[in-house]
Amino acid sequence: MSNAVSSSINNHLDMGLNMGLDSGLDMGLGNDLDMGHGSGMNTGTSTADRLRAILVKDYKLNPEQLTPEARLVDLGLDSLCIAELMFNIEDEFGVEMTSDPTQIATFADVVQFIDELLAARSSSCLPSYRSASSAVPEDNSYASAQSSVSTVNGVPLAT
Amino acid sequence: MRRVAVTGIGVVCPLGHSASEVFDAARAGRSAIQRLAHPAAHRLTAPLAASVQFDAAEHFEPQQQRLLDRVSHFAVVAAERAFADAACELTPFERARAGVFLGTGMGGSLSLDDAYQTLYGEQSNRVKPMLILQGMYNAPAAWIGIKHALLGPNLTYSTACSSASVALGEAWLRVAHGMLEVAIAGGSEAPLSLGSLKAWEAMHTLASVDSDDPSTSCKPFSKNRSGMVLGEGAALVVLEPWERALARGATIHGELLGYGLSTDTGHITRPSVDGQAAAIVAALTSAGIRAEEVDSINAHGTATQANDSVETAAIKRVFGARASRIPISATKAIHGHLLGATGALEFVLSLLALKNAVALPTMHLQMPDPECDLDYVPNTARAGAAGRTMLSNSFAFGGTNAVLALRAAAF
Repeated sequence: MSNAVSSSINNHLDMGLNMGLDSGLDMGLGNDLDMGHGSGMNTGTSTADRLRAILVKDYKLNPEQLTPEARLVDLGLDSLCIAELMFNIEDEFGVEMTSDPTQIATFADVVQFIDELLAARSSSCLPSYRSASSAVPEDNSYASAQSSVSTVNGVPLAT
Repeated sequence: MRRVAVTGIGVVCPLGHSASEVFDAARAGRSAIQRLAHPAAHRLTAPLAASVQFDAAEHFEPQQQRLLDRVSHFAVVAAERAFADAACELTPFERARAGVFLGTGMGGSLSLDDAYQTLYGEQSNRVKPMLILQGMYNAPAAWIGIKHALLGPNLTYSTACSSASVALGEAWLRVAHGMLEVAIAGGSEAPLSLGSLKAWEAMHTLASVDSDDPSTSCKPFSKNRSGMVLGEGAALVVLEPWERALARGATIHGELLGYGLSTDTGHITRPSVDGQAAAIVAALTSAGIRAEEVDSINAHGTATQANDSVETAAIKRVFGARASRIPISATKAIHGHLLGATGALEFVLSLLALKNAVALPTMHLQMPDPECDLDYVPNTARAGAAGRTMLSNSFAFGGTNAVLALRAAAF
């Protein structure tokens, strides 16, 4: 993960939290076509409003606290929460994080980060979603992994 | 060696949410086993379970609720209840010498099952960021430690169906030997996912459905027993030195006298008379009591063909001719098999049996089995029969046999 992310929330990071943030950012970039929301087509509400709605719903935060300059750490969001938040943002906005966010310290930073992702998506000629089928290994490695567990070093496992 | 008092009881289990609820249900023989309400229940040969009525939202903020697997929800709430019951304040010195000892057989298996559904069922890569923290086996114990700032050892034991008894025994050891001032110990389990139900079914260990009354499907020691029914829940107790409990005027629920371990090495699942008898003898030795002092037993009593006959033979081996005069209760008939938590729930039921001087019934025992010919207190509780000193047996796949010895506080 980038040092910038670490430093932006460094007061609340220890090794464990770093790990949580890493995993939140590095994974989950596949399709979410079945996740219920995340159409990304909702243009009637601002990014800030939609982010606010997530934070109110999932973290029981008071909407009045969620000013642009409010710092995430002051809102009680540690790095684990932020990792989870990024996951939820991908769902809600239908975006995909292809790189680590940098300098996310305040509510406004998150809004800006989302807007950049939305802009990148709309300017791209490629679809931002991977197709559902791309999650299936093309080399059929799933099937080979399945068959491989029935033996250990060539010795069949008892069934 | 110090005497060890049990001063707090906390339960979240199929029989109820307090010691009195649980005891009342056990005394009355009210079964919590039901047909399983699960969207995929139709895929099970015998869709049965003993579930807990539990709404995590009543106990946790949304963020915490998402971060903890159900197994941790149960453990944290049961610990909360145990500490509330014990009403003990810890000094900073004691906090540094306070430990958590928790048994779980399957950890956060519901979260893992859910993630596998995402990965393989939906072919999606969107595994939740909290999965590691939900799934890891030590999460329930860790959350108890965090919530109560318990700074001593925080240990998780996973020896399948004896996990909680091992946790209780290991906690007892440390308190008895002066290594700890307070311990919270017990077990938690939340195994009712389709994945684990199918896995237990595939082992041919689960009871078939009693078509007349599904709640009677688990029939320990009965000739027509067909296996166990999975249950979920947590039971935890607060252990502290007897003198400390007396000094602070605590209500003492009973005394944990000692515990014995042995290991079956003949087979990964097949129990042995030798192994179970050895664990019982080890418990007597640890407790410093003679076999004649044991007044009643809470059996492992899973209602599998193998366990119940072997357990019967092991009890005969240790107690000889007197075995048939010892009331033996198999309470899994009504609360199901809580796997890594079951030893703790049965320990609690044993404490309450002693406290209330009632031998709890073994329900659904209608058909005597020549191989199971002891006094199982069939179908009706027996007032005045629990006596003063009990054993609580827990035996496990993997072979770790653990037996706890306990005594009523009033003696």
